[in-house]
Amino acid sequence: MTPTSLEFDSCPECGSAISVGTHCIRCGTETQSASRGFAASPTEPTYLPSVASTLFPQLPRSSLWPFRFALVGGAAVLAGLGAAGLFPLGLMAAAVLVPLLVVLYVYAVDVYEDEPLRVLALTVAWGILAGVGFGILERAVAPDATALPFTSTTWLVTVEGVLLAAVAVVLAAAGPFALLPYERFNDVLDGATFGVTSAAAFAGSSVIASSSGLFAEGFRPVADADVWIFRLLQQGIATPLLFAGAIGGLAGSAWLRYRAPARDRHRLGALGHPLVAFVVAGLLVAAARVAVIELTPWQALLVSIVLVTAALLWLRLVIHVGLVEESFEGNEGPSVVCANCGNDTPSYGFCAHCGVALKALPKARAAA
Amino acid sequence: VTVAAAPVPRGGSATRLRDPLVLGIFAGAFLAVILVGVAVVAFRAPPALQGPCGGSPICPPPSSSPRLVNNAQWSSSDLSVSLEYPDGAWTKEAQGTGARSLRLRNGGGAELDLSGTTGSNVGSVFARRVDELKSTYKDLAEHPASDGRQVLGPSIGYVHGGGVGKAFCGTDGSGNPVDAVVMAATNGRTTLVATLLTGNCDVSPIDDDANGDFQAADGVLKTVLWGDT
Repeated sequence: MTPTSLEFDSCPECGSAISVGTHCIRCGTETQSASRGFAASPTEPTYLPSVASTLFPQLPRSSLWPFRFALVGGAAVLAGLGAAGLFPLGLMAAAVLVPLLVVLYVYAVDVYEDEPLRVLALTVAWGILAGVGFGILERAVAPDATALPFTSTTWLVTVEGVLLAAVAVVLAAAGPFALLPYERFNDVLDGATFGVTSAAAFAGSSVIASSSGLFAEGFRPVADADVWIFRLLQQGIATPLLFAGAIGGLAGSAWLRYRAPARDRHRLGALGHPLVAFVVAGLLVAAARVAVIELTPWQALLVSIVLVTAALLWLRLVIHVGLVEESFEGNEGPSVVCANCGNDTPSYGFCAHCGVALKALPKARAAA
Repeated sequence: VTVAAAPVPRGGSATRLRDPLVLGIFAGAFLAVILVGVAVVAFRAPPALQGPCGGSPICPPPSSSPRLVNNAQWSSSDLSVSLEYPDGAWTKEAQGTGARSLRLRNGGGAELDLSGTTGSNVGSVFARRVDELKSTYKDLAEHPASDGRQVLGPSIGYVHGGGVGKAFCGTDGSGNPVDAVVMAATNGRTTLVATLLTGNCDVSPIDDDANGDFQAADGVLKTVLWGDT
């Protein structure tokens, strides 16, 4: 006879006592199958590069659809503007698509609690300012189009590909790292969210700053629409997602290293070391930039999709490890209605019914 | 007495924005940014090109000077088209009713026909002309592609207008070879169809004789003026 969940008196994974539901409230393991999905979205495997549940992990499952819909719809608008030859407008739309969704997410889940100014200044505002500065630097360093045939590929790859990628990663991560000392924001998820927010704002504003000359060429500059469709999708979707994944992963790793309990600081192995994480983030961004220099637009987009997948998986792993490790802190609290599934669950690490990490739900606000 | 609000335990809070509101805010902000882009581009757009003679970048022909004409002229008042041909090289043989058609013949025996009609149905005019030719030359058939006689970029007087062109081969009543190249084009109001008839059916188009006929006919067709186009 197959035992029901109520017949378990201890979790098959962590050994914690189970009093109610189908999931362990300490580690989120589904008690019958002894399996566990992504801590922030337990119906999905941990190693599934889902954009929405990775970039917006604190949204309840039922609230993900507007973000997915907006992302897909926004991508269609970019392709449409590119096909119509309205490249400057497409570039504006590409610059704001992902950052706009991230800012909406941050507000919706109340990431900044009662410190909105400090958090917004060091994530969104910092990302925008750093991105503008980086875009201006990029324009200054980039060779003039007329000189391009005489510029060596080695120079382009070294300076524009690798060196500027390192500068971009440092700039995009600097704002979120300034929030690391604040104890109020001690969750790994906080660090990852700050990284994602700053990186998305950085990617968007740098696109505008580095391409501002295009806005003086009229609504339909003379250019190949096919190339521009790929370019808009690259700059509006692939690049911001890559930055978000890489900087989010980097910031999350730092939070796990410096904010998590001492016993959990090495759970990510080498990837959890900030220096290694910085190198990985830099390599991801550099590889995408080199692909843009060396390959055709659609080949570069394909390479970027692979890199985005890797970056999202990294960010997802950081979030998952952080949520699981942090769930062992504190004591069981009063019962709450889980915002993800709507069932009563003890207020501890995970919902006893759907297995979502309770920290991966909108932050607590004062009750009316 | 004011009592501090109790915090909701973690996991029990819903999002601050309802789902449709998220979509609404996103769509509004996205559209607003695109509209800002419209304003920025409109503000920074380069001024329209202006030629030395006023509004248009292309100057119109001078109104006071007559066009320089070196050759014999033919014009059709019905069709509002005209052309020039060197009267030493070509001889006018016939002119159709209402000056809607023209037949020229050169010293080598090549015949160049031009006829027109109002309307813009290039395909129909072309097909009708081919049918006429087939009724005269019973075995007229299109050259196979391997002959290298495709008509590239068919146009009359630099007007393409959905131009159609094909090369045919057949024999006349005496068994002599007849090579027919037919082209049609329209400016949207008038459709012209031109036919070059030679005996060069089996002669390579790059042969001097054949090529000479093509060049001579092309020289005439390039002079066609389509009225107000």
